[in-house]
Amino acid sequence: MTAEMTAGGLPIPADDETPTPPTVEGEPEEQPRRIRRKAIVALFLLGILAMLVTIAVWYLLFRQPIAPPPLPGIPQVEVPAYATAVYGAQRPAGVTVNPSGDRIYVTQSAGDKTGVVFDGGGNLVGTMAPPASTGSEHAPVYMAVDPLTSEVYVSDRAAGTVYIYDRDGAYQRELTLAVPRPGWQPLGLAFDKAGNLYVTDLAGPYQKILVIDRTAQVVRTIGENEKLSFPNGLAVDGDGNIYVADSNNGRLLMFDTNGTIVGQIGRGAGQGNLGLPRGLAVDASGRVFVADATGQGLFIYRAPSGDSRRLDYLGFVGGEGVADAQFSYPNSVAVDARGRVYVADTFNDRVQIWSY
Amino acid sequence: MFRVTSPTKMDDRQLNRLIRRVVLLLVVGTIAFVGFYALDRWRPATEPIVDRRLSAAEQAVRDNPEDIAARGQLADIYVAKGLFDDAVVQYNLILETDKETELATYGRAGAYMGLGQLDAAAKDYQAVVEIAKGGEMAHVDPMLQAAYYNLGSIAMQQGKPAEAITQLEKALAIKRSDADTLYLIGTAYVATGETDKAEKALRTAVAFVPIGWAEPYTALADGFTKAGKTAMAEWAGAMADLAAGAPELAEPRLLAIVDGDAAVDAAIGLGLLYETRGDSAAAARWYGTALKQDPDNAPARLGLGRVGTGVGASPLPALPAPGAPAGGSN
Repeated sequence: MTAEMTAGGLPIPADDETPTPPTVEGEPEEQPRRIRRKAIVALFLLGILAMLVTIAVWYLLFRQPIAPPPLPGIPQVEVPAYATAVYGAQRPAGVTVNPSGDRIYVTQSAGDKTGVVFDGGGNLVGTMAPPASTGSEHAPVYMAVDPLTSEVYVSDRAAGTVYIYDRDGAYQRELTLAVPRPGWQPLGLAFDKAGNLYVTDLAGPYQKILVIDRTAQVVRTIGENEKLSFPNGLAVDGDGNIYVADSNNGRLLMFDTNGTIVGQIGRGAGQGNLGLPRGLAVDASGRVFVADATGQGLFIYRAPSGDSRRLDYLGFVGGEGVADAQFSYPNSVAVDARGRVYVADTFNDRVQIWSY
Repeated sequence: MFRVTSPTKMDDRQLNRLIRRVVLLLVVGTIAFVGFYALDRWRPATEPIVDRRLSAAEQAVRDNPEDIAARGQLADIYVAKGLFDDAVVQYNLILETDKETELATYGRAGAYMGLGQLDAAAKDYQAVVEIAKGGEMAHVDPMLQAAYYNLGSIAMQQGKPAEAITQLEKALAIKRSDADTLYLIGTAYVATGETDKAEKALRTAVAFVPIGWAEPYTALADGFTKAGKTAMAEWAGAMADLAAGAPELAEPRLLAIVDGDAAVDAAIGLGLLYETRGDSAAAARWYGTALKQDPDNAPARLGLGRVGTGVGASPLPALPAPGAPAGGSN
């Protein structure tokens, strides 16, 4: 027995078990060690703080979504997730957005067939309509935002022209080519980073892509020999590659800067094959988004890797229906610089917003 | 002057103070950044389109309870939303008025299908048939055709293939090109052991929808297996893989039978496979192979016409564009 019991039932340690008070012998050696440990902790915390500041500054500069670090064995998510939808447009045929995502431009193929402008929260802030002097027969479809002036270019195939509006939707002027092209039928529109305008022209037996410089000169034509059939959407990536949705052939074609086909996807039932590709867009990381009207969704690709000419298929989102994240004949797609994808969900009368 | 001292040269108190301050900065900074990030990424959710339509339809019925059309729309939206019990109530109220009886009965049948009450649904579809079959346009009436189709579908679900065939034949008499009906009657023929009829119906179904629909090929594979046609069963199985979006599984299976009883079909299947891959030259070669064995083969001729002879050739004829917006992008 090493402990006695008191009347209160608490044990009293025996003499040999009494704790020894700490001696002062080790203190001079222990103190610098403790300070060293604290210094390491302080440096570690400072490091974390520096990392947080770096991430915050990077995000404020680029405002791209922060992707979680890749996990071994788990493939990276390459498709966006549904976020919300903007209502208020009738049969939206085309959609585009400015890089910050605070202006969403939508063309309507029903009602008064004008364009409408929403802010980032989905509130209607303006309309885009050409002056009455341009006649009453209008069919605005695709749009592109000029990267140098923020003006919005709207193709109007019925009127055979491209109308230009300011960032809030106020009419500015009509695109006047340096050398007029009577009877041209502009449809798909895109800008490259230098501000050259790319237009799909449906006129004539050989439908093609026109490249128009800042002086409104047609400086190149692309795809004249490719038997394009109603090329709709058009996009140019950061390297100058041109993507076109060759709609009625069910193809997505990728031309290099020389106008040579370097990648393509066909129609069919194989994984990633298209039905009726319409609008398309390319984001800053090179992902190509294609709105497939009869496929009822959004196909996502990347430029071909290796020797294959087939674009790398990343995934598909959507499906036919009226619920969130479902589509009814989507016709157009746009991306902003914040990792958001905007889809004109035509027959559901809304623009869906997806996000990475 | 601002003086920077290395943490390694600080005394205990200075270090404690530094750690406290850095931790405080980290906590406040993290909370602020996470808050800003969440706010920046967040977009306010909107009411789903079905709910919007539902609210509007309910309001329309509240505003005018006698409006049969509004009540019918409300019932249809209840079905779309999966609220089948509510839909049945609305259809019943319409039927009590003796107006729009055919539409309401057809709608109620759909709601009963949603509830899994197949007998009640069949009774309503039969009522639609009784109303519609004497109509002037009965031979082209899509609702009558749909009623026959659904009666056939219910019979199949209840394990009565012979009865299903009777109903589906009536549906086909109204619309001979309906691939769904062809598929269903094909499966019914497989179930009754009439493999020749099954093959004919299912081959017609896949002629209308050659790719992207695996079920008819699977049913064909069952039929061929029952009939002891091993090579053809293998072809149908491979085509089911292709249609299901697995060309890597289909390719070796088709290549293995290109010299057997299913040679022509296998060659056409390979043509289709390469066509979907965008490899027009290879597709043309396989369609050509099929034509050498059967010069009059229509699918092979059509395939060759689609892919031309070069990679850059225009592949397929224009699809109809049911979704083409007015204002026209094609």
